[in-house]
Amino acid sequence: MRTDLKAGTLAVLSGGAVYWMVIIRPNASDDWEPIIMGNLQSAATLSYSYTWNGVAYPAMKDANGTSDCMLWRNKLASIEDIDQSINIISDQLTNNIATGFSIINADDSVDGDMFVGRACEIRFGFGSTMNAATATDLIFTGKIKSSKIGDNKLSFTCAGNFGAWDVDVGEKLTDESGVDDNWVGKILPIVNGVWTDEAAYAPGVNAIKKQAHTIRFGSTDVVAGAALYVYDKTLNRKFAVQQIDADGNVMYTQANNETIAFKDSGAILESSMSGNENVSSLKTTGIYSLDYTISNDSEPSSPSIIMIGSEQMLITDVDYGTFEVFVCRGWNDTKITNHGYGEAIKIITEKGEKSYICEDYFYPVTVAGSRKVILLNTSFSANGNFRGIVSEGQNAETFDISYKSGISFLGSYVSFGGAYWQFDLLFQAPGIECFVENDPIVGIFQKYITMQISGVGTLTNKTSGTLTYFRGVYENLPLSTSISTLIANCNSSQKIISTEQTDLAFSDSTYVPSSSGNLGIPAAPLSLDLTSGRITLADLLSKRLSVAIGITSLNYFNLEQNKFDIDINKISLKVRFKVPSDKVNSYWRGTAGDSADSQAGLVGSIVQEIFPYAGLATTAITDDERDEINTLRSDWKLATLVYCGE
Amino acid sequence: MAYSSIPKLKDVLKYYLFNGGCIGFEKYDGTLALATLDNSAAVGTISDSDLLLDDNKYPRISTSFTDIKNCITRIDLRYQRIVPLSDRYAQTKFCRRSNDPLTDGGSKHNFTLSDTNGGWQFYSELLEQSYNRIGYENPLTIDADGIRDADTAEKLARLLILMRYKPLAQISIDAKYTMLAYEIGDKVNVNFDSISAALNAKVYMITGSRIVPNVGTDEPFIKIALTELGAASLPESTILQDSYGTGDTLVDSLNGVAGTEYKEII
Repeated sequence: MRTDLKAGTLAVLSGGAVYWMVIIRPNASDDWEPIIMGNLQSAATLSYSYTWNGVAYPAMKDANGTSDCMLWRNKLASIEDIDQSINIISDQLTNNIATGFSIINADDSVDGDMFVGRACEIRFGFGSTMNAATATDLIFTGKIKSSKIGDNKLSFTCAGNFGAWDVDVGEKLTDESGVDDNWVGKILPIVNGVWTDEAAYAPGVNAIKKQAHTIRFGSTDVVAGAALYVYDKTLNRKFAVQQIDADGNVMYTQANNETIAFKDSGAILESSMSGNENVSSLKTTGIYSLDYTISNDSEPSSPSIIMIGSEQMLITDVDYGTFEVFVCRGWNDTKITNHGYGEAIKIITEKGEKSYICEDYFYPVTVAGSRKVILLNTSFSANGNFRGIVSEGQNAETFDISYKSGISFLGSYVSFGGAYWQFDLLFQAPGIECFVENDPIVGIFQKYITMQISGVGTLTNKTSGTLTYFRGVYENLPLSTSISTLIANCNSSQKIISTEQTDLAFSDSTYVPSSSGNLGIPAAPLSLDLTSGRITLADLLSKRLSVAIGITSLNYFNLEQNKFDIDINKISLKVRFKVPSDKVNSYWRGTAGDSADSQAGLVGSIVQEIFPYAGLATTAITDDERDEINTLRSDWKLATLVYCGE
Repeated sequence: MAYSSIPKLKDVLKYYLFNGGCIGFEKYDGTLALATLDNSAAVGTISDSDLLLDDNKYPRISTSFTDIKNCITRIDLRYQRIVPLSDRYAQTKFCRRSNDPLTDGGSKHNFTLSDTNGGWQFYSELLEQSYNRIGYENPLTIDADGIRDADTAEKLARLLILMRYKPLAQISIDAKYTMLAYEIGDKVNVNFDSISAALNAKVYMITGSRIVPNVGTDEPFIKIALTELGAASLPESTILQDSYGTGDTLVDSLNGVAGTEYKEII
């Protein structure tokens, strides 16, 4: 029964207006060049509703003929009877569908050749209008077989697609959408029901009907109905996986029920056809790849390629014993963790390698310049000339350090083991004095030392996760060489500003980056009130202050691409002066004198240590990485000079 | 193998389809479909109100029967073809009419199954009725290349007897365009006052469809040819072929059957 015609609707509308539309579509490989014909009405698409009989044809060669459609309103002269018949007594396939139509062509404006061989549809509309774009009124689908010039008319004969029967056994039909390429030539394409529904096979042909499996890892569907292939490079064989057990750990190939265990540990690949290959360790080697080191239990080994679907996941051998692992969409958080972050890189299909999937779904984790432990001991300085007018209150002079940490996360999944930075600051000044006119006042007390530390994160997309950080300002903090020693030192050192440790949980629904892109570290500076007299100017000049900021962990996961940076973009040391009221409008300056600016500044060092992930082994820094670090260092913006002029 | 020697799909299919009690045809949209020739799963009923009327009172309907020459009096269904030998079959299912004076090896049949119609006697009697109808012997020999097992062969033989022991009723109608919803291969019931109750009780397959568009002049209508399936009813209208003589067995049932009128053929 036709599915495109609704008998009930037809019954209701019986007696209403009816319309016919002949739609001519181009062939995919058609080399027909459009001929602009006169006396035509045009429309952008066939989706309009028409209240007249007509002919629609593409004005431009188009895959589906739905664009640049030309419409003939008054030229459809007739449609021949659409005749179908079958003979249930005969064992022959006698069914045939034939029809035809004619158009008015009194002015010979139409060349009949241009339509011959084209796909043709005859549609039937009823009620007030017909919509040629819908399938609710399809009557016939076939091809135009021939054309004939008649009395002021051009007639076309049409035939159905009965030729589909007239193919060689084993040949795949163009509309066999359900048949995998793997079966072409091996399976007799007999179909149960509508041809396009399912692949089947004939009696006596020992083949197994194509299965529609759901590939799962754990409880997560990777992809439904995807093909799964296992390649044996040594034997140059490809096995199609026929079955996957309930939890997705075991796959069976079609060849001889060989088993491939794909364990949840992720870093393990076992194949009975190539021995057991266990991923013993893994390491990061580049922005876009992870390498697995394979230990082989048996020889010879033939590293295998596993591909799930055409664009999901694969393990392929780059070289003997080395595998690249790509984990793509569909893996849940846990699995990605187990399988090593979900660094999706490239896909190898039967047609070769391609690097497209990562752009769509998973981006690799990128810790630019910081994939390894980086221990930097460098120094910076900030010198400036200053002098100024001291007013009562809070004149403040600021020494800023802009520092770029160089941590950039790019990926759908990031599990960041931790990082810390230690900035050692030493305020240097040859001498500071305040004076009123020529009455030097030495020792006017400063009130505040303020430090502002902020992290800048740019979250470009939805994300969720946890960021744990701590920070503090310490006095004479020893140089720390690891995050653990830093924490220990912080605990034993004099805290100038209390240590904070905060967990920031953020999700796409609750965490909205601030307009400045602050990752969550408060923009407002921490400040220390020194009115207690704990630090004097002399102290400031004699003591080494340390700023420590640490990120103990950062995790986020989202299927979409995310990118954010963590930058310690500003460290400010503000020195504020307060003078007695009778000294307002006095000057303060360096010791060099009232006419010369004084020099003051900060010196210090930076320690930066970044842990990509605790589970990843680390290696020595390569030359490339060293260059990268140097590049990073060159980007550092050292302390900004401060000038306090009159 | 020379290219020209590759068999065409239609040449292979016609055996398998026919051996499975099926018919293959092209649907209106160019897709290929199969339908079983039993009387199950009628998709609708065509009645008087669906017919066009002459002079506003006479329904456009006519009845006829298939050629009486199609009636058979004996069946020999050969199966288990011996490949590569041509025209050689290891087994034959046969059944003669009940009053046939001749036998094969002393028996009128080698049927073994029993269905709701009964055993071989029921089918043998149908062949006898056919003989009485046409008055001469008209044996039918079928080469069932696609059948390897005895049960399948016998089921097909029974189906052919049910189809061929008498002429099949045919009805031709001119129907309103609302009946465009039907297409060839559909099985329908009918309810026409102008035909006998016996014919109304049958299940028909639409074996002909002629859409008359009447572009720009009048409403379209459809000429429908119906062929009786009632006589071609198997008691168990399920899977005809249920196993392979080679020892292979079905491993899975097919999914995605697009409508109840289609039956599994393997």
